[in-house]
Amino acid sequence: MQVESFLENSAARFPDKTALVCGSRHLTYKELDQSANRLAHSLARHGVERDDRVVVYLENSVEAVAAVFGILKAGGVFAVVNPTTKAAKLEYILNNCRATAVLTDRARLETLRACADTPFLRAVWVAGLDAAEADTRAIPLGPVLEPGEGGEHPPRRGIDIDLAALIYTSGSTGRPKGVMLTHHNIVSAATSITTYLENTPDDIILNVLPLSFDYGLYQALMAFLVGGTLVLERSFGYPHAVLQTILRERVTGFPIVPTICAILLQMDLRKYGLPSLRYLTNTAAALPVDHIRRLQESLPHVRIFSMYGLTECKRVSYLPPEQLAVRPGSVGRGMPNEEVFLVDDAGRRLPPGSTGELVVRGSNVMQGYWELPAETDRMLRPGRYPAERLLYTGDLFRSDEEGYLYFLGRKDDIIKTRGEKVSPKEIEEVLHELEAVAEAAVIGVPDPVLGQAIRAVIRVKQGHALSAQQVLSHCARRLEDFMVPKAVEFREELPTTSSGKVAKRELARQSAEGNGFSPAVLRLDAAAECARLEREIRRMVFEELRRKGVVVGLSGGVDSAVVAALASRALGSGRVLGLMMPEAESPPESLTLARAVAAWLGLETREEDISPLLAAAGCYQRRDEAIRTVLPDYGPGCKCKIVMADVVANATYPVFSVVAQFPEGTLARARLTAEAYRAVVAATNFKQRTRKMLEYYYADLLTYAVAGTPNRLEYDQGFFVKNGDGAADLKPIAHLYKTQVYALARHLGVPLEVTQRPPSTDTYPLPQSQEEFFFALPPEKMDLCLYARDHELTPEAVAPAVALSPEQVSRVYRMIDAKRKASRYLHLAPLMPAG
Amino acid sequence: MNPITQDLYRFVVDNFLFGQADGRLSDETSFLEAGIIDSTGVLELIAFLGERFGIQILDEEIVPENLDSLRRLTFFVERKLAAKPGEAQACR
Repeated sequence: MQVESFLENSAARFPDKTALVCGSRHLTYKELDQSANRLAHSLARHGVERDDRVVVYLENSVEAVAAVFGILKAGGVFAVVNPTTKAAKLEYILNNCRATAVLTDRARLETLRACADTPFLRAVWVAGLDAAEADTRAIPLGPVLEPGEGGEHPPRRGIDIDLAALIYTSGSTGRPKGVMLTHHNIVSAATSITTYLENTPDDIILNVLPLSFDYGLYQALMAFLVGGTLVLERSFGYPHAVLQTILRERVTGFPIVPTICAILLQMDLRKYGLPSLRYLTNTAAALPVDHIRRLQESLPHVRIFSMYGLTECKRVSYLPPEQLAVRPGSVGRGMPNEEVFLVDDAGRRLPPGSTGELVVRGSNVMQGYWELPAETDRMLRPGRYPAERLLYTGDLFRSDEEGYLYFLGRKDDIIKTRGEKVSPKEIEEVLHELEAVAEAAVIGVPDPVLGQAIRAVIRVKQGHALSAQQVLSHCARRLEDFMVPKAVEFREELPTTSSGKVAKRELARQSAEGNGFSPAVLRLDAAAECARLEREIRRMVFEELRRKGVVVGLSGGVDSAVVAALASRALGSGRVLGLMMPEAESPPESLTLARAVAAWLGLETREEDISPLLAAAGCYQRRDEAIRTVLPDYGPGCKCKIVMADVVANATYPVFSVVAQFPEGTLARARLTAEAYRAVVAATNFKQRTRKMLEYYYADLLTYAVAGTPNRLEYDQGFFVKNGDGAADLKPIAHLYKTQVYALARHLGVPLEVTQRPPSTDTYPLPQSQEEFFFALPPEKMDLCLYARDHELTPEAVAPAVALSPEQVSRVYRMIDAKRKASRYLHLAPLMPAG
Repeated sequence: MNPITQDLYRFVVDNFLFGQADGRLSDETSFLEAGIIDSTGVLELIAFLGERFGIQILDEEIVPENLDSLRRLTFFVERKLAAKPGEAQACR
């Protein structure tokens, strides 16, 4: 059987059934089959012959699906490459497989044109290409696929031991390798998988994974094999929209990877219900056990399949859903019509309950790597019969007494992240292109969601400077998205083996322990970031918001100074209004500093004393009444502030007290009751809300937008008043850690007296630091702890860099989590009824 | 159920779970880990202990060891009541 028969057979059985849903487009089997037929004729007319390799360089789309089947119908071999592939690698692949044709779209044509030398390429079919731009080598794809002449089947050109696909995967040499799969290999794997998933024509399968990833590709193949419906999404970028699609299209099967699972669990799945959903499959890396449990709780009617595979044989194993409760960490046993076992280093088969390399035997096993005989021989070794080859996966597994498998790691240093194999060497070569890099090593560090996360460890040349941001943006320009490192670490020295090579294992061990975690993780290229933010501010204000300028509330602090400076560089100082809003209790130097910032930037300014407004609202009076419930003598002439118990030094709750200074200078402190605390906060929130009210007054007056000034710490941890300082039309620095804001301030030349002033809340009459009231730690330490929490670093790894004990770091982590939970309400936009 | 635990259970469910326990709350459930109580919640809890059982709580007693589950709270209240038997009597 040929793979194109999947589509042809179903088109014969169910001509008018929906085969493919993509955005607003619905195609029946007949329509899709005829589109693919017309493409096959077009390919043949332009010289594509049996066994020719044809590259599909497209996003998930109707065109990409039609392309795969059109190529097969023309007798060709399809190779779907990741739509984010950059020119250098694309050129390598095109020439490696000597592709005679490419199917792409208008957006990617530029990258394709940047491939300098493609001597084998004869023609390119381009989706979205105008007839005017077409020539003999660039053919508009749209008209070819549209209904019309030539919808009849082309003559069958191949047999089932011909190649159907080349799937490129990373090799240890750093060059991608083409996994050769025959029609028979694919038919075998697709049949086994649809058997254990019990797929039927009633299945509606949602695919959000790229078709370049075999897990994504097979969703299309399998949907058509069983005569079901494929719902194709470009990505999982908009989770809410995807869940709505599941409801609208009554999806029954949803293949996910651990990153998608993590996002799903952040949403209220119960609210969606997803009644049509019959099963979820997971592969790439094992799901954390806790995630499995929570998925089951949220979606009790859905069967969850934990699976494991590699491109070289597509799928290896699956865990029957009923086994999930018994052995949640296992990826199961071999799938139907396939045998899997573990071997020791000498290749001897091991009994259940052992640890060894996984070997796969079955008709799903690939034919080898395209024109790489030595690499092929390492993976495929003689089997039971003369022509049989066994697949030695290079993956280490443990099996339990009943033969269920548990993934342990790789035999070589290949990194497996999001289920894709990544060659450290390929990334290291890209890192070495940077002038400042003396030595670079790339390792995989355990990651609960990605399986492994890519980490680049770099030694910088003497006299050179390099930031993590520079490294990452260089990688993003040169590598596919999934290969870009998650973290960059700078070292004075890399550990070496006796032969002088970088000791990767030692490095991985040190990295896992966080050796080397330092403030350097937050380094950024201030000049590049400022330039980017200026572009973004222009876009947001002029294009998105369509306003003539921005209002910035100047507090005299570094955040508002940086926002004002960026805005005035982006829009021109004539389009920025600096608004100063002192009140009776704000320290006079705040106003002085705010004026200094405005003068430095040459801004138009307005000053509004908000004390009368606050007094009219009863801000001071209501607050003082609340304080008197715990400090009866508090009254006129007194000053106060709210302080939080030191939750880092001691294992305590963040209980709040009021500190009062009486006119004669004596201090008193009293724990607040819940009512008093809420009353004090509610009353003082008038300050932030009144300021915002005035900002919008001027915004309305001038057709300006309001720029908010929260930094990442404040934004992430909910240190703002809802509809007060939390309200804004744009928040240009909400992604930056406080230390990064300071770095930008230095680059921009913010007056020193502003940058040297410690951050204050400016909300209470007594001087009050932010850590006293909210963060419990000074900003530079809070930054590091927040970064570490997000990168799942152990408290032990973080402790030295922030001069705390691991126990104290754990407390900070708990506080971060608690604040995130509490700030959910603050971040929520007004809710609407569901449905 | 111990009457003290019962009082505490009712207070926690009414105040922090909007009256809906849904089987989420056992004697051992950590209020912090389950996200049941935030920092204002702790203040409310302290106020309740004062009103219901007539016990005064010192700053240094406001720690998870004393307050972070129904069981710990029950022990804590019993210990405080035992230290002031006269007042406890009056309160009950």
